[in-house]
Amino acid sequence: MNQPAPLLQVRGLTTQFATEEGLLTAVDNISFSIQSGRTLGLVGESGCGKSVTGYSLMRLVQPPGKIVSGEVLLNGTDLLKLSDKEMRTMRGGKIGMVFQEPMTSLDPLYPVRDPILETLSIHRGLKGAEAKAEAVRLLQQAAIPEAEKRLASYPHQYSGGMRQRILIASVLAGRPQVLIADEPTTALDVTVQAQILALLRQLQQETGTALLLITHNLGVVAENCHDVAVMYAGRIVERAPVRTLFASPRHPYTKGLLQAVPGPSTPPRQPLQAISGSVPSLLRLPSGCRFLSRCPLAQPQCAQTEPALRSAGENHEAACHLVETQER
Amino acid sequence: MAASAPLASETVYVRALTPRQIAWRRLRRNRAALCALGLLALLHLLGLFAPFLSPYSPVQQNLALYYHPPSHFVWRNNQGQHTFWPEVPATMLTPSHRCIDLPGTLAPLRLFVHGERYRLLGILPVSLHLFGCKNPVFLMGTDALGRDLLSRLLYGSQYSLSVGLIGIAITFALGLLIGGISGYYGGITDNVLMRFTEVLLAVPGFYLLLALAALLPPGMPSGESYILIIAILSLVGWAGLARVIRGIALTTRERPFVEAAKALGVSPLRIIVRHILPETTTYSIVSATLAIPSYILGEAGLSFLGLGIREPTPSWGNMLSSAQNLEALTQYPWILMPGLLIFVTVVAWNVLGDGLRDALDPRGMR
Repeated sequence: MNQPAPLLQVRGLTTQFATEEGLLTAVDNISFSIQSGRTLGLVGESGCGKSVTGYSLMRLVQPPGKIVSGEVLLNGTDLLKLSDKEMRTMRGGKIGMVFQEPMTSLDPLYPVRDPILETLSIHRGLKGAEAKAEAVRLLQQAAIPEAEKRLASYPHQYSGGMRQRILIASVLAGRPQVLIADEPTTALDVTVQAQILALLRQLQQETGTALLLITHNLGVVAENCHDVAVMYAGRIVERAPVRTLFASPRHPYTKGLLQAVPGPSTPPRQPLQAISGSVPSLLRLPSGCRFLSRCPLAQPQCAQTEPALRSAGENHEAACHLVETQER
Repeated sequence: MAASAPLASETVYVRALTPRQIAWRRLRRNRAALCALGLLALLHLLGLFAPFLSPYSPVQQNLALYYHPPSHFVWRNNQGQHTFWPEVPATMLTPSHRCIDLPGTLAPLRLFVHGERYRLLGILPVSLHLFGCKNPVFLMGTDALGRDLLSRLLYGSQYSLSVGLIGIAITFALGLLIGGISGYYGGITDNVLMRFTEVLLAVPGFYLLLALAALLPPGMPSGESYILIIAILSLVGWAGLARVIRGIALTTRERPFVEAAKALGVSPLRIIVRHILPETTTYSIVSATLAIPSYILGEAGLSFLGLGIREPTPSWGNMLSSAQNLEALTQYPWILMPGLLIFVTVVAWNVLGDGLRDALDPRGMR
């Protein structure tokens, strides 16, 4: 397949936190890429490094966290090599991020137009009436009714869903080529969730943004993403187009995740299949495969070497020793 | 009655009270704080219009009338007729320092008289004074050199009161900026800045003041030494503030809206000024109000010791230093007036500060 060069390419990204008990590798040598206009879903359970990946791309990892190695290529520019000042023009201008706390991500002291106008002035040099008109347009685009009147309202006068839409509008104001959405709907109820995701989808179609959707909700992934990367304990363990992943998951962890979600074919009144055990501490990883202790298919070789991502079909990779031997 | 009811399709926006309005309402209910506010406003206005209000120049000496008691008014004229307007007699001091009226010298007190020229508010050249009289009139008496105490108090308040305001402005600019930077950046920046403030805090404040003030060359014009005193007071004062601001900044920088601002590419200085420092507003307003007295007292203290504003330029501090000896105190108690004014000002600022703290306290919402 002859694909155009990806807009965002991440290679060997590793982020570590210096804790009192030792060096914790939250994101361990992960690589992925997104084409413009495509959506990559990054899924995994809490603490697997999804959010840290997002922060790393933005270079917003707070000490004691540190990006140790890797490349984040945006249109061929390595973000990790830029100076702080250069990175600041990228943030919001080329690569934007929507956070998971819509209730608190707007400064309560300023009317909602402020972050939008701020982005417009920083990244697009728009000021005055021009900026205001654009802010109204952005809010309308984000489906805020009576946008013109409500520009001057304060965050507390909005519901959580509206705040998230305002935040999205403020991020889109900078026309980023890459948008990272870190669990953008976690704090919202289901109907609002659907609205936000529909909004993101629609905006992506209009602007051709590459979207990295970080979530732990497989339903959200199935509906919104073109490709999926599954993270486990800081690593990507499986990567595939969304249909392939849901139809034929190849990593036992992905299989376990999918089995744990109730679907129409789930037999009633029976406990769902849970993945036994819990995520190993990132400070004391077992030798060999990270999923070993919880894997129903564990083999002796799994305890010896850590499996690398290997091809498991067209555009499909999984980090499991058993990819070749397993039945499809 | 239904005619004026809003249509259901029209959204009605109700303006909620802003926090500022809530605070102002609560402050208005606090009578003591309100009195303090009024009193301070009055004192500052008096200082602002000192040249107009004072009948004499603050440095004009009247050696024959030293330690003259406050002038008294007579309600009849030289012909012995009763008047409705006060008349002031010319006076002289006996060798035993008794003040006696000279007979037949009564002259009416006049309003809006022309006297010495000055610039009103520093701009308008005028010579109009609120009151004056043909005879020397000293509403608050004179000092050891026969200078009018009222005029000196009014002119002195320009120095003594503005020291607090300007000093606090500089201190807060420094403290907010350094505290904000320290808390926002953290790490090495924080460490270096905080160790530096600790060094400043470790030196007892007043001794540092004395040491710095002693560096001032003795012959310095009072305008310059005034600026230097403010600089010295601010230099000593910002450290404590910076530490508290840093603490607030440390917690605020973890707030999601700061992160969101960073993700939008907002510059650090802008984040500090727009998102972090406003979180300290309540604390800053209250602590500024409560800190102003220490500047007024600091100036008074330095001037009292002869290290601040120097004679003949009046300030409440150096005026009070002439009230040091017991004889002067018992014989001429009016020279204690600057002390009283310092006291009243300091108490007023404190009461106002307390009132503001109650008014701005979000937990006090009722």
